Amino acid sequence: MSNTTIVPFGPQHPVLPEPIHLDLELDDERVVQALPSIGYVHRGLELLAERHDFIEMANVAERICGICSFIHGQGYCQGVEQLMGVEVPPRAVYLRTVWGEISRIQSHLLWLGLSADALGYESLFQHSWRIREMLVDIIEETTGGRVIFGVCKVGGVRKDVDDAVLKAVKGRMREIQTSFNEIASVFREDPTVKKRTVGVGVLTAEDAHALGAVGPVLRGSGVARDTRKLGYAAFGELDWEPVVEQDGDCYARCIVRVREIDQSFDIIAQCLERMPDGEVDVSVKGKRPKGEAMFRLEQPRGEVCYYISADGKKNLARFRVRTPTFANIAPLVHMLKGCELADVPVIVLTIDPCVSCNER
Amino acid sequence: MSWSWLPISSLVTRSALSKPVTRLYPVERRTPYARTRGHILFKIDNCNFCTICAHKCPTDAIVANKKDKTWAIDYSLCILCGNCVEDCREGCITLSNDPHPPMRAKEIWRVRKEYEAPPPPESPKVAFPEEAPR
Amino acid sequence: MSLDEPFNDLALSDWVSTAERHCAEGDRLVQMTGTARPDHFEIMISYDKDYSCTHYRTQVPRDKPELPSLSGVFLAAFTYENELKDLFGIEVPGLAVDYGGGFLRTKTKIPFSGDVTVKKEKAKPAAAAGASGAEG
Repeated sequence: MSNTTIVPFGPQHPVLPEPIHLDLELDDERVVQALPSIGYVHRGLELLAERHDFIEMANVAERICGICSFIHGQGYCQGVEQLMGVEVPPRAVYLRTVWGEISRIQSHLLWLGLSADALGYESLFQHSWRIREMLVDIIEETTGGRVIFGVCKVGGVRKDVDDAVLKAVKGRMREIQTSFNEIASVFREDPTVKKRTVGVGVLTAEDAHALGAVGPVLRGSGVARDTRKLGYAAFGELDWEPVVEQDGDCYARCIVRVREIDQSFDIIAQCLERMPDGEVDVSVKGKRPKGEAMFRLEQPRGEVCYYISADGKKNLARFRVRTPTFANIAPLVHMLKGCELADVPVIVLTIDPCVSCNER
Repeated sequence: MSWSWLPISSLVTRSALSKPVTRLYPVERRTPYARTRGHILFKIDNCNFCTICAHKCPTDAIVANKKDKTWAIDYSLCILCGNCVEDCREGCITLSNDPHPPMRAKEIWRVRKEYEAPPPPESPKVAFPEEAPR
Repeated sequence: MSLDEPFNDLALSDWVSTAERHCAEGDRLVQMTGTARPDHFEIMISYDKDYSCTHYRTQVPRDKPELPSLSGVFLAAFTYENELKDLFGIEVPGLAVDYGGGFLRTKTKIPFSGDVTVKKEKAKPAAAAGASGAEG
């Protein structure tokens, strides 16, 4: 006769902006088992791709997620371009890389804010979002949108950015980095943060590998794997190395993200330094994608996979997205086993759950 | 207590002494950037009702009718992708930098050629639901 | 960027043994995807090692959609298999965590299992309703 209690966690919970449900089986205060279920906001995007024009689908692909919107659009466009055999001009490739990294920084800052909030650290939350706002302003100035960039299209990017604006962006990025370093030292050293995160939700490198963890969850466990190393966009020409932390606990995952923000500032600076001149798009008129391929990109939350299959028609035969959160559900369930009930929100948050991404 | 309290306390003290980074929104508004996608504007004068904008619209927010010489946009469907602006050969469609005012109901702006001037875009016709409090 | 990663065809009977081989070699399960083809379901799986993926695909007949579970080999497979179950209606015997079709709460049950020739249906847009009788 088991003596356990089932506590439902979510789909509505203060730390969760999005609906995921976890049934926590508790023995006293300790979690014995966690059963996740998703699907509250399933949108049928994959089916939509079979009915829409492949050029229009770029708009839909960008709306898979609100935080990593640009990278979804980029992944979709790269995939379709490759199936059509279109070579994107180098300036467009570099602009995509810059926007992708800006969106990575803003996503990580958003997460740092949310995690500070989950730890009960309100002022740190406000400061993270204050810095994020400066980045969102840059996004709005260069693309026209705050959340949905809307600049990626099949064949390149929609809008060029003047060199004068890029120069100003470079200067402002340096300012943002200075302000970020102030709060980064809080995340690194503050005893409040450390008390809630060190040694909590440990995922060993072996488990992370076996459970198919991706992104900062995997790198926080000491596995140096970053899909950007595939060299898509401009990443093959830039000088960077994946960020790795060894401990595998919530603190390590937090520090991975803090360090990745620093790294992204560096990548953006390198891109702006090497920004080539020229066109930003090529015409894809009359071309249709044909064939099938799997594409992988690194999102702020980890590796995202796109499977695109097309048979030379106006719409794709099959479009499938495997979002990083989906891959991180299995490690999450593993991490929750044996933790305290009070630590559950922190652990759930450290996989950076983007539940609505999940629900294509 | 350790020295690691220092970063956050200096940050908090500094922001307590400086003026707020936020704006008092309805009173004080930020000027939109030159690229900000606000809302779609339409001038009917040159329009020859080729309906390309309606075909290119990914969400079918624009409906143009050649026979009746009408053009309509559903602002609640428009995703501001800018396809219509790029594809309009007559340059009738422009993108305004000012964000569209908040919608309390579905807003459809319709224009017809015979009319002298289209209604000012700042105050599109608002169709309130009947039971909605005014 | 061009990834030279071929898709290997696999018999359904080799599904689990291939997974075991890749698991022993230290590969990582990247993803599992289903595709509805006219006369069968195509299931695709990717294993990754050192940034290079190996893809396999197998065919599951439409009249008896059954796929042996990999969750005994790679525990990570349970989310993908539950998804296949909910989207395509494929039975997965031996599933480690079985939600019984409740993992994805879609409005239409098993939405991908139907006929694959989808006709584009264009619903009448809202703006069209009043366009003819415009009020200016």
